[in-house]
Amino acid sequence: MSKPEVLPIDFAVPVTAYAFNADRSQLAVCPNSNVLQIYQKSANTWTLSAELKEHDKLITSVDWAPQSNRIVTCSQDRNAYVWTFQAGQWKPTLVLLRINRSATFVRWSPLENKFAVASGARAIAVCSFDPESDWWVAKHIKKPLRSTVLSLDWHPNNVLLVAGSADSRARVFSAYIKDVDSKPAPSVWGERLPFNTICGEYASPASGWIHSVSFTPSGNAIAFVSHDSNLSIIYPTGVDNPPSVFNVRLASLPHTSVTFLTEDSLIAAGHDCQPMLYRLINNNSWEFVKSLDDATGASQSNKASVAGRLNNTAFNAFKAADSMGATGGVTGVGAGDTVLTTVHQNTITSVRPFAGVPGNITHVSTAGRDGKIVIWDINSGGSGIAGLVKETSQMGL
Amino acid sequence: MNNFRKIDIDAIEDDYLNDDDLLEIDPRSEQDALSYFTSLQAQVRGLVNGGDVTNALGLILDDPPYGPTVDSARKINTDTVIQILSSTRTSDISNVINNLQPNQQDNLMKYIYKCMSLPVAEQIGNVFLSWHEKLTQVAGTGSIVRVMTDRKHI
Repeated sequence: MSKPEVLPIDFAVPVTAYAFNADRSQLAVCPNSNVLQIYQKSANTWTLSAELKEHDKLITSVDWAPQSNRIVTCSQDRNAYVWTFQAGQWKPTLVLLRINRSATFVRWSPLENKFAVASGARAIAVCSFDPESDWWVAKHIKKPLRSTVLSLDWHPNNVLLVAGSADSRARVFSAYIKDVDSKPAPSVWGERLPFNTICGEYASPASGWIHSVSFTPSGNAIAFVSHDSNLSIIYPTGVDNPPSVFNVRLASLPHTSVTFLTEDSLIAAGHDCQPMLYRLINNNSWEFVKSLDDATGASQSNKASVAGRLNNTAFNAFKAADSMGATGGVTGVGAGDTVLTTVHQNTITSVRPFAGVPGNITHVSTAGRDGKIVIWDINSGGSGIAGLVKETSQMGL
Repeated sequence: MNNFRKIDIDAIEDDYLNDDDLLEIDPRSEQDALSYFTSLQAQVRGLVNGGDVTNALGLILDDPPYGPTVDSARKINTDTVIQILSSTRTSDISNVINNLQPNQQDNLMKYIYKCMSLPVAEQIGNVFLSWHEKLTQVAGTGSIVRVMTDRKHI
């Protein structure tokens, strides 16, 4: 069991997007601006090696293709760029997305011959390379999206795409592109899969918008986290049957990001500032297992008595004053007393696999609004906190 | 703020999303819901008189009426909830809450917030506050978050 590793770069501003390269020696970060910074690792230090300046508004998402070493960025300026490393420099190629609202999220497909860009234009742009015109072309998935698409994940077959949207629905689409994709094998999501086929549509349990979606490593199930403090895991069971739905009601604040470790375990993190491990128990219920953060992070003396965000000296002092009926205000609370006991000091915005192979992830990385990027061993944490976060789960059909 | 910021860009588009489009509507008809929750009210009164507050609350919180089409049933069920909440001894509250199912706890949280917005809260607001405190200890802040997002308005 190793301690979480906080990267020694202090961004001091929220990290809006980040991605590591294949061997994790380089890091692309957007420090809440229109510039993408590339950091190079040498020994234990990270040094700024390049700044990618082409967007003119905030970069909302970045992804680094591990095999082809290409970076794709998207931004509120409604554009996406593909960056290739040539002769020691990152060269941008503009992608014509044809959207009239911000781009919100981008991910390379597993084969890296396509990427998908989510947007506020109620559309997903699926982009593929057209060698004849030397150009990335976009094809839109529009129906039945009713609102901004906030997150995406690719199925391992390079064709299916799951999208989480602000209309509180997660949907599985076909992003099959003729001449680029070979015909996908039949799966639980269906047999014939022309572009824009809707293979599944699932609402969040209490109407919260969907923050993040993820396929399992096999692609046979999805998980999503929504702003109604729920984690949902969906197993489709064929076209005409209702899916098996597992719904975990969180005791605390909503998660904003989710990623699978194995077929039956996942990490979710968000407004509670700590990555949490969930597992499928006995094949019949998804349950909270532990937090990777043992919540002794910042101030060693202040052991957590409640989990996450609401646990700091200042909050507890006001709470005590309230329950004692004190009218004279709270004394003895200073500036440093708002430090949380968790490693992250603000909402975690993204959790991504860091080490291991797909289907057996051993480390994850997180980035937060506190400007920290942290690498976690999935075996870490768990001491003294498991009993504090009461979770309930149920299975419905 | 300049003029640019004041333009409602959605208004110039034909097919934009209204709040109404996301509204959840109860599948039951107004009449069915009304007669069902009226009879439930009588049944629940019997249970409360017999001292079985947990089952009484469980019954009305399991599948409460929601949405704009069943207003009369929503009003009846809210009244029933208020009767139960205000007639339960403070010392029994924790026990009752612990015996509710998670979905019932979430629905109870919704009713507590709804009750606090009604004129009746001016007289018995302290009742709702003590239920709220105990319920938050059991169901967590997550339950409050779910009340805020849920479009199934009870």
